[in-house]
Amino acid sequence: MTARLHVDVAVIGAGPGGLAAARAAAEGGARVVCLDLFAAAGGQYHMQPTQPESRFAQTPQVLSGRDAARAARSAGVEILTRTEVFWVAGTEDGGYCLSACQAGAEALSIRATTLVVASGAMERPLPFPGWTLPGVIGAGAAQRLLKTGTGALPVPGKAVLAGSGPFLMAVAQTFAKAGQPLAHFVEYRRPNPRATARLLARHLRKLAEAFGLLRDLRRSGAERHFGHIVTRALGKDRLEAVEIAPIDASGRPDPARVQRIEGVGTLAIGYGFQPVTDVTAALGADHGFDPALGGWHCIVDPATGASSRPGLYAAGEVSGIGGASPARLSGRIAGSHAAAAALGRAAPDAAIVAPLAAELAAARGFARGLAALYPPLPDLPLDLAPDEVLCRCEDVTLAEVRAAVADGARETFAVKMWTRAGMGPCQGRICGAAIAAELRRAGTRPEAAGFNRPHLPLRPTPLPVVRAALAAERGST
Amino acid sequence: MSEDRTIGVILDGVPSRCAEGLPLTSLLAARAPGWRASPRAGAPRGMFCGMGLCFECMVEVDGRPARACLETAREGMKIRTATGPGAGS
Amino acid sequence: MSALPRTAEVIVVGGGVVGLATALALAEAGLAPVVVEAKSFGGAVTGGSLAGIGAHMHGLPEYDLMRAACGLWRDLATDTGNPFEYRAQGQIGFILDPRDVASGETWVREERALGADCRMLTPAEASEVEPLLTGPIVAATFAPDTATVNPFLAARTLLRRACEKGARAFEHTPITALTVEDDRIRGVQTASGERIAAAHVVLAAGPWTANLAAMANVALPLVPRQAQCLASVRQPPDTLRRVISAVEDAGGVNSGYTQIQQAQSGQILFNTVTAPTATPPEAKDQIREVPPGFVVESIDMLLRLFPALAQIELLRSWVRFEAVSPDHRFLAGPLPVAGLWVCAGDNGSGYCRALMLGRYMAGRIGGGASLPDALIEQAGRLYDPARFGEVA
Ligand SMILES: Cc1cc2nc3c(=O)[nH]c(=O)nc-3n(C[C@H](O)[C@H](O)[C@H](O)COP(=O)(O)OP(=O)(O)OC[C@H]3O[C@@H](n4cnc5c(N)ncnc54)[C@H](O)[C@@H]3O)c2cc1C
Ligand SMILES: Cc1cc2nc3c(=O)[nH]c(=O)nc-3n(C[C@H](O)[C@H](O)[C@H](O)COP(=O)(O)OP(=O)(O)OC[C@H]3O[C@@H](n4cnc5c(N)ncnc54)[C@H](O)[C@@H]3O)c2cc1C
Ligand code: FES
Repeated sequence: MTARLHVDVAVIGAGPGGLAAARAAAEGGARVVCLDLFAAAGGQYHMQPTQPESRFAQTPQVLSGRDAARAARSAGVEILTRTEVFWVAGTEDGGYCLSACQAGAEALSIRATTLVVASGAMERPLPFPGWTLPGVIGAGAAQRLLKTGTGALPVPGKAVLAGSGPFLMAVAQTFAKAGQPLAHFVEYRRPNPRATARLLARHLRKLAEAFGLLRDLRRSGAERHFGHIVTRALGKDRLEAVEIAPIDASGRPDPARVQRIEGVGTLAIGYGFQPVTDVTAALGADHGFDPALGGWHCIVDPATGASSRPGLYAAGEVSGIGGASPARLSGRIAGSHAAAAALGRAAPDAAIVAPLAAELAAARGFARGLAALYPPLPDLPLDLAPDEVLCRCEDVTLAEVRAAVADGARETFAVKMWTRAGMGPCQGRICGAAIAAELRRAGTRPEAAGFNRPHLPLRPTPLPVVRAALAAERGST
Repeated sequence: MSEDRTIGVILDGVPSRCAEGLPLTSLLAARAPGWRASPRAGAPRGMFCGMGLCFECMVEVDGRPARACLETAREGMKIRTATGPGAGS
Repeated sequence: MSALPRTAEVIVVGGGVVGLATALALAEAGLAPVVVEAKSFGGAVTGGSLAGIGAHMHGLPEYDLMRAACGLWRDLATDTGNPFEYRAQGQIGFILDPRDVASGETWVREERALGADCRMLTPAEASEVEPLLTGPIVAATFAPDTATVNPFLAARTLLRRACEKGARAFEHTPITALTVEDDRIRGVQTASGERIAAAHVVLAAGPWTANLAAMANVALPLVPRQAQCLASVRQPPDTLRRVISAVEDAGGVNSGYTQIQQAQSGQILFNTVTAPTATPPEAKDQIREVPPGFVVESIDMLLRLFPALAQIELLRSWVRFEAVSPDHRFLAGPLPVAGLWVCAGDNGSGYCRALMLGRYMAGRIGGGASLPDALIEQAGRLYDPARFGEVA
C-alpha cells in the first residue's frame, strides 16, 4: 500500500533551513509537509539526542531545534521523519511528485504545487593514506555519536580530531560538552589573528560564539596542532595510530617532522562541507561551482530562493555552504515565496520578506569571511600511494583513476565509466571531490569535470517501495 | 535513580542489551569499529559519514538492508552484520 | 590531449562501440583514422548497454554474420588478456505463456540446423541452470554460448587498441558540419570551428547519424528509439548466472522485451518493456529519466521470475537512445556522396555486431580482406544503405 499526500508546498529536509521554510510557507497559508530521513527533526545543527540523560538534552542548539519543529507544527506543518525522498519528478501541471521511503519499508507518494529543497550539506571527504580504516570517521559522525549516543565515543582509545575550518572547533566543543577526552586537535590552517579580529569586529554578534569555541577547545584538553595535517592512519583491521606533520611554506607536510600518536581509537576528520545537491540536480536546476560555497551548489535568487526551475526553491546549505543562520533566513524567504507561488499570489508580504533578505546578505557575508579565513583545501596536499582507495564503494584506487585519465577520461562521468568510481551505493558523493582533484591535476577544471548526475533512485531503495511509489505516481497501483 | 531503559536486541545471533533508541552505530562500534568488508579488496570497513550518505555502515535489520547510522535500537531488533564477530550466525 | 590534426585519411564520427570498432579495424588495416566523439567515448547507448554477445533469437538471415561477430569478441578477449570481462555464461529464453512455446521451439530447431548448440529446457531444468529462476515459466530455451562483456571496458579496450595501432581519438569534439564539394566528401568541421580534411568520413553516431547525414543532404531512414535499464545494488556473485531474456515471436525490436543479468560488479541489471511506444526524434536530446511505467513493469517481471530477489534495493536507472532502421538491420556501407560512409542502425543489438561491422567497413574503405568473402557478400546484401531505395 502506498500512502499519498496532496500539499501546496513540500519541503525536503527538516534542518534549520527546511523547518524555517516549512513554517513560513504554512504561515503564508499553504498546506505543507516537511520530510526528513532522520528519526528526529533538526538536521545537522539541531541534532536531537536519543537518550534523556544526555548532556546535550538541554543545550540551546537542541532546544532551539525542538522549538523550531514545534513552531512549524503549530503553524500547521506536517513533519514526517524517517522519510527519505528517493525521487522527485515534475508533473504535467507544473507541480512536483515526490516518492519517499518511510522507515526503510513503506512507500509514500506526495503531490506538491511547489517544492523547497533544504537538503543540507555533507562533509567533503578527502582521501589520505589509511582513510578507509574502521575508526576513521567524519567529524560530523563523531559529533553525532557524542550527541545522539551515550555521550561517549563507542571505540576505546584516544580520539584525534583533524581537518580544517571553523566546524572543527564546533566539534571540539562537542567533545568538551560531552566530557569526552580529545587527545589531539589538528588544524591545517593557522588562521590569521588580525584577520579574525577584523571579521569579528564586523559581526559583533558572533563574538560570544567565537570565544565560546576557543574556550571549549581549550577545555577539551586536546593538544593543539595548528598548521598540521594528518599524513597517515595506521592499523591492521582497525585504526591504531595516527601520524601528523607540520605544513611547510609550500603547503605540504614536512616529512622530516612526522609525529606518531599511538593508541588511537577514533580519528575524526573534517575538511569542510559540500552541498547535498542530489534532488536539485536531478530536477535539472542550474548549479554552479564556487569553492567558497563548498563547490557545486544549486543557484538561487537570494531575494526569493527560486532556482532556475519554475516552482523549485532551495534553501540552506544546498544553495551554498554558509551555516545555520543563512539556512534559517534563506528558509524563511524560500518558504514564503514557495507558498505564495503555490497559492497563486504574486508575492509574499514584502514587509516580512524584505528585511530577511538584508539579514541573509549579512549572514552570507560572515560565512564568506570565514571561508576566507579558512580557505577550503582545493585538493589534499598529500601524496597518495597508487593503491590507495579513492572510491570506497567500489574499491577503486588512485592508480586506476590515473590510468583512466591517461586513456582519455576528461570528466567525472568518463572516469566513472572506466573505473566504476561513483557507481556504488553512494553514487559519487564520497569520491567526487577526490576524482575532481585528480582531473584537475590532469588539466580539467572542476566546472568542466562536472559531477555525477543523479537519476532514479537518489538513494538505494527496496524494489517493492520503488514500485509502489511509482505506481501511485502513475495513478494506478 | 534512573529507570531501566535498556532493551534487548539480537546482534549477529547474540542477544545483547543496550539503551533504547541508541544509534546502531554506537552499539556496533562498541563491539568493533568495522563490520563490513569492502567489495573487491575485502578490506574492513565501518561507519564513515554517520549521516546516511556513504553506505559504509550497511547492516541487515530484521532481514532488510539498512544504514546503521540511521537506525535506532528497538526491542527485539535482529541485526546482522557481514563480518562483525559472530557474523552470519 | 594533442591538438586536432588538419588532415586525416579517414575520420570516424562517433566514439560509441561501433565507431571505435570501426576505428580499430581501420587502424589494423593501416589507415590511421581519426575518431571524433561529441562527448565521452562510450558514454551514449554504448555505456548503457547490457552488452550481450550472442546469436540466439536474432534471426536466420544474419545468423552466420552474428556467429562471426561473436567469435571476434571471443578472439579479442583472448588476444588482449580479457580486460573487459568477456564471459560466456549462456542465455536462458524464458517462456511464461504456453502460446509462446512453439516460437521457442522454432528458434531452437532452426538454429540447431545451422550448427548451434541451443536446446529447450523444462521449468525444472531451467531452475537447475539458473537456481533462483523459480517463477511460473512453462518452458525455456537455452543457448550456452551467449556471452557478455563489460560495456565500458570493452569500449575502452577498443579505443586504447585502436590508438596503439595508429588511430587518434578526440573526445568532447562534436562535428557540426560536413564539407562536400562536387559530390565528394572533403572533411568535417567541429563545433569550435576547426576543420579536418579527409578523403573518407564514416558516420557512426548512433541515433544522431541521420542528423549528420542530413548535413550532406543525405536522408537516412534511421529513427531513435528510447531504451532504458535498472540496476540493483551489488548482490553476491552467482546470484544470477545467465543472461535471462524473453522469448518473443520474430517481432523484432519493436515488440516487447525483457533482459536480466548480473554484471561482474554484482549488480543485477534488468529491463522489461511490454508495449513499446514511438520515440519522438527530439527525445534523444531531452529525455533523461526512465518512465515510471517502465520501472513498475521491470520490477514486476524481475520479481515474478525471481521471487527471492524481493528485498534487494534499486540503485540506479538510465535512459539511452538506439538507432532503428525499417528492417531492423544496420545501415553499413557507402552513401551517395563519394567518400561518405555510414555504420549505424544498431536496432538494440549493436554491441554484439560491432567488431564484425568494423571489419566490414574497414574492408570496404581500405580494400583489404577483413572478413571471409561469403560474409562480406552477405553483409553487402543485408546492410546496404541503399536497400530502401534512393537515400540522397
Ligand atoms: C555532518 C555535519 C555536522 C554539522 N554540525 C554543525 C554544528 O555542530 N554546528 C553548526 O553550526 N553547523 C553544523 N553543520 C553545518 C550545518 O550544515 C548548518 O549549521 C545547518 O544545519 C544547515 O542547515 P540546513 O537546513 O541547510 O541543512 P541540514 O541541517 O543539514 O538539514 C538537511 C536535512 O535534510 C535531510 N535530507 C537531505 N536529503 C534528504 C532526502 N532526500 N530525503 C529526506 N531528507 C533529506 C537531511 O537528513 C538533513 O536532516 C554541520 C554540517 C554537517 C554536514
Ligand atoms: C539497456 C540496453 C541493453 C542493450 N543490450 C544489448 C545487448 O545485450 N547486446 C547488444 O549487442 N546490444 C545491446 N544494446 C544495444 C547496444 O548498446 C547498441 O547497439 C550499441 O552500443 C550501439 O553503439 P553505437 O556506437 O552505434 O552508438 P552510440 O553508443 O550511441 O555511439 C554514437 C556516438 O556518436 C556520438 N555523436 C553523436 N553525434 C555526434 C557528432 N555530431 N559528432 C561527434 N560525435 C557524435 C555520440 O555522442 C555517441 O557517443 C543495448 C542497449 C541498451 C540501452
Ligand atoms: S555511516 Fe555513512 S551511511 Fe551510515
